[in-house]
Amino acid sequence: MNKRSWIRVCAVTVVGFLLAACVSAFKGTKKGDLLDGRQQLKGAAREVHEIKVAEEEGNGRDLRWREEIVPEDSLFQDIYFEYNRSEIDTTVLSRLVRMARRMNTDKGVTLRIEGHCDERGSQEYNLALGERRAAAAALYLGRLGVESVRLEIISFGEERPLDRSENEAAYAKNRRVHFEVKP
Amino acid sequence: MMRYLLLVAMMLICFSSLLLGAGEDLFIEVESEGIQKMEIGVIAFQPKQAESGPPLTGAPWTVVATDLRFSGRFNVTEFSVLDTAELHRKNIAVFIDGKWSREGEKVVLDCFVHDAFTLSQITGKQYSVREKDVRRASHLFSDEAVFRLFGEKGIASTRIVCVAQFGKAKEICIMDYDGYNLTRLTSNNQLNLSPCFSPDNKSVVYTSYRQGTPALYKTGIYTGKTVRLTTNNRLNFSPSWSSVDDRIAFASTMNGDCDIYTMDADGGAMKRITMGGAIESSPCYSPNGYEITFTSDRTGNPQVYIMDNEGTHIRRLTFEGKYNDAPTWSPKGDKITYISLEKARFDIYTVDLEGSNVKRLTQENGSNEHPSFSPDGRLLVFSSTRAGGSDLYLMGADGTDQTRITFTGNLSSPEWSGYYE
Repeated sequence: MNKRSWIRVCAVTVVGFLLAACVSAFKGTKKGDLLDGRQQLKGAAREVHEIKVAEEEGNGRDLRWREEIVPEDSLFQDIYFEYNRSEIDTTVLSRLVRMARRMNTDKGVTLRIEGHCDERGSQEYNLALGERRAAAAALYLGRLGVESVRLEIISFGEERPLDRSENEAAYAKNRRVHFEVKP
Repeated sequence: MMRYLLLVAMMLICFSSLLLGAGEDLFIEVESEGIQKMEIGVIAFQPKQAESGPPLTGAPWTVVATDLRFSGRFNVTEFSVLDTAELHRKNIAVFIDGKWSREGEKVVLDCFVHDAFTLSQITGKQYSVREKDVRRASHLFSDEAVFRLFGEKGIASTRIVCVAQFGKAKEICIMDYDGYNLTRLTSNNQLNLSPCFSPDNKSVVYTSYRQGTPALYKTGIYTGKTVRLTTNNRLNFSPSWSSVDDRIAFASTMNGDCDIYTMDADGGAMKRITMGGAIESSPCYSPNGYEITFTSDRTGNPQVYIMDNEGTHIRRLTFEGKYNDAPTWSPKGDKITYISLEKARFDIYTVDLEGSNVKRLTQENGSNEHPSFSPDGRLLVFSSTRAGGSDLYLMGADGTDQTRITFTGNLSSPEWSGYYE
């Protein structure tokens, strides 16, 4: 017997063992047995984990929907945005609902929605970004039943800042959507 | 023994391939410093007769000297009188001189380029202009001198459009390329933004809020006639006018998202060429009109892309920096200049069409925005806040010789015209 045939014999044997192992594994697996075992293990771990979590302070607090409280007469005040973003913050969603309700009861008014940006961006991209912010607000109001013809969208980009100083507080004030109720 | 030899051989092969850069192509870069600058003398123009009247308000020869310096082709030395020996000593082979006189309302300028050794005339031109147009005549003669000496068109007679802020309003203005003769083209006391020349330099297309919503308008520079080009009541901005097929590319939100559209120069035959929910803006035609460079935030932040003028074959050009915008094509079509945001300030970069060879042209000097190439591709105009307010500056296309050309502190969004015929 030369070297090569030895290797062949070895390979065949190894494959055979592997097959046998697989078959026996299948045979031994009554679904119930294995799952029970796993569940037991998981259950124990979870118990330990839960005890630990409970021990840490502040756990199990009730979560409240964070929400702006705005009096009815300043319902249409500005809403603000993150830098370079146009997603509406969850804290103002309930205010948008109330705005929509007001718009739906008073059918005579239209709403001008102005999008603005801070100066940290190019003039042209900011025009598009301001428009996207205004459109995001308009989309919400539209979904809440306000007719799109009563929503006028306009972007001023970075052309109309409220505060011209160069700091984060000023930038945050300038990244806004401004509403103007028009009779 | 054989085995060892084999091993050694293999190691040698590995090492040598490492040394050779693993099959990389070898490029030998030849950096040309350009042609050596020509030494030229500019002699103060003399009055033709002893009593030519009151002295000229603008000295045309200093205008010519400045033009020749801006052209990047000359080392200029100014003289008050002609002294050929002095010219020879300074190794100056060519000089410019001239005569001026008054004929009624007009100023007559006789301008010459002379060979300093033979004193023969290389070129001579006469201009008869009103006193306020003396600068214009000087620019025309500078271009004549550049053309006679180098066989290329000069840029001294070109102009720049820009936006000037007056309180809350922004108006479109036009001026000479050197910052003189700033003139308003609009005066509606509203926001007027992102101006762009027509290929014949006779009108300007821009965004205006004059009727409430931001629409595109076209104003004739000499006629003052204004036409509205877009009829929708959403945002329409950043126009670019193709000199090849006379179409205008611009960004608009008329269908919801900000996308790029093209239309005829009268607003007809409108066509949307980009799709999708991202912001696509700031289109600029390539000099041959086949391609458009633009900004898109499809990856989450604004980057510069290139596509063909039908909106297909889109490829990304910039990968460095998190915020790149305002791309503009060089007149030769070989590179694109754009701005990149870092720490709330913009700086100007150029990149070639493969996205390689990124070069930074400005740094640590205020916010530098809105670069635009001169028609010969040798200079860039841009706005910068380095001196407080926003003013316009010129620099070489490689970032050298940054020169302030305006001093009013309220100018932005410059755009260079084409050549004036």
